[in-house]
Amino acid sequence: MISASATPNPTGLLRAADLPLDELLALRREGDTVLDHCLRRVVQDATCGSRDRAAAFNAAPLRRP
Amino acid sequence: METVPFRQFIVKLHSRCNLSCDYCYVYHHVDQSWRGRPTVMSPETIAALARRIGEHAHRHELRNVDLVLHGGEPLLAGPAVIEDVVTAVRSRVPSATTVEVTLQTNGTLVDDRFLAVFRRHQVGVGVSVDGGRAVHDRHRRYADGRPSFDRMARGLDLLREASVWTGLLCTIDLDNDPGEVYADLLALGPPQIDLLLPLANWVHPPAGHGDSDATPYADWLVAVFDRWFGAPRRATGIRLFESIIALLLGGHSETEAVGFDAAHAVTIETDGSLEATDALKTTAPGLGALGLSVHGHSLDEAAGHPLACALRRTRESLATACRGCPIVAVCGGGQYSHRYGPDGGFRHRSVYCRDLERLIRHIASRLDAEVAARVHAHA
Repeated sequence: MISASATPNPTGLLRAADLPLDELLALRREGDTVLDHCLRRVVQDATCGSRDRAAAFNAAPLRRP
Repeated sequence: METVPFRQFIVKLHSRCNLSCDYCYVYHHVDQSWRGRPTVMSPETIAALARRIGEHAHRHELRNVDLVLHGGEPLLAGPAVIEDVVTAVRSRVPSATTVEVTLQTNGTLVDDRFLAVFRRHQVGVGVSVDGGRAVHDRHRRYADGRPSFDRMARGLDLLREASVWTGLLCTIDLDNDPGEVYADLLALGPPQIDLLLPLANWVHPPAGHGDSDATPYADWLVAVFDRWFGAPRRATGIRLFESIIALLLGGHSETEAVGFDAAHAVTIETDGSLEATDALKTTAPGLGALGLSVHGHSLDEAAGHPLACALRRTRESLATACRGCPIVAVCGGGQYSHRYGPDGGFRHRSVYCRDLERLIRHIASRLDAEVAARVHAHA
């Protein structure tokens, strides 16, 4: 789980996205682009806590969305 | 080292397959242990594995566990065996523990008997599909050479109608056009896709890796990513890409292909023997075997095994060069089996290191531009 004050991964790869998470997530819209979906997912992780969801190996089936 | 409980249990219901795909890691790679296993899991082994999972869930007060039904081709075991294993495991875990069940199939054997079991037990079903008919049938054939696309597509229709289909797994073949593969997969209407790098390592390198500077897998994946990311609406989920984006944004990965989120998984073979992960079958014979069995050992013993501990995804377990790499927080060193080297160890870069770096940098660049545009519009 990430806290509400967490910042994006310190990779140096993102510049515009190198914002406090709150500001970054405020950019999400009601739309259904890939970015909207991914931002919603990160919000959900941050607010609800994320269970261990990593697939065990690359032939592991996809979970229910 | 502290024992971390398993949360995912990959159960090999059947050790054979009705297809003979030429790239299959189970039958056409270095580990041939399938030859000595029972074809189908026995009632005694099902009872033993359910008891062990139940013990493990009680001891560690697990709120959720994942039961992953796999093979071979798991449908060869028949609907009754599938129903038995799901029922047995659910009856053994604490009442507060949720058991999420998924199954991976080639789709060719799906019929109403299986659908009834899947619906009754909320089994999510993934299907392996490589693209359109010609692409799919290049590798995914019966042992006698017959193609499998038509039977797979019929099975997919049944799974879709029954609302139990969770998505497609597609293994990348550089000979296929990425845009065409993506379009053909989308035409099937999948709720999600994952695009799999072929199981390879420094001893058994992937096709197309002759030129040391080439990144053919990244090039292939970038072509798909750009179509997917640039669409006005999300056409489907792609596990690898969404995991990379989530990691860049500070979230979690849903695949051990990238990131440091570990699956904490164990594999139970048809004879009850315990293995660390199936992907190690592509490294050296028997390398994934723990030398333990549900008939004689607890899952805590397996979780404490040095090999199970070695599979934890930590920065410290990576090659020295990886630990100082700026993108390691996203790639996580890549999939463990892809790091296997000629010295028999795993402290190496992923054999896909250059591909992963190019892919991640490309995704970061597209993401950055999109976020910058929104920041500008927001200001």
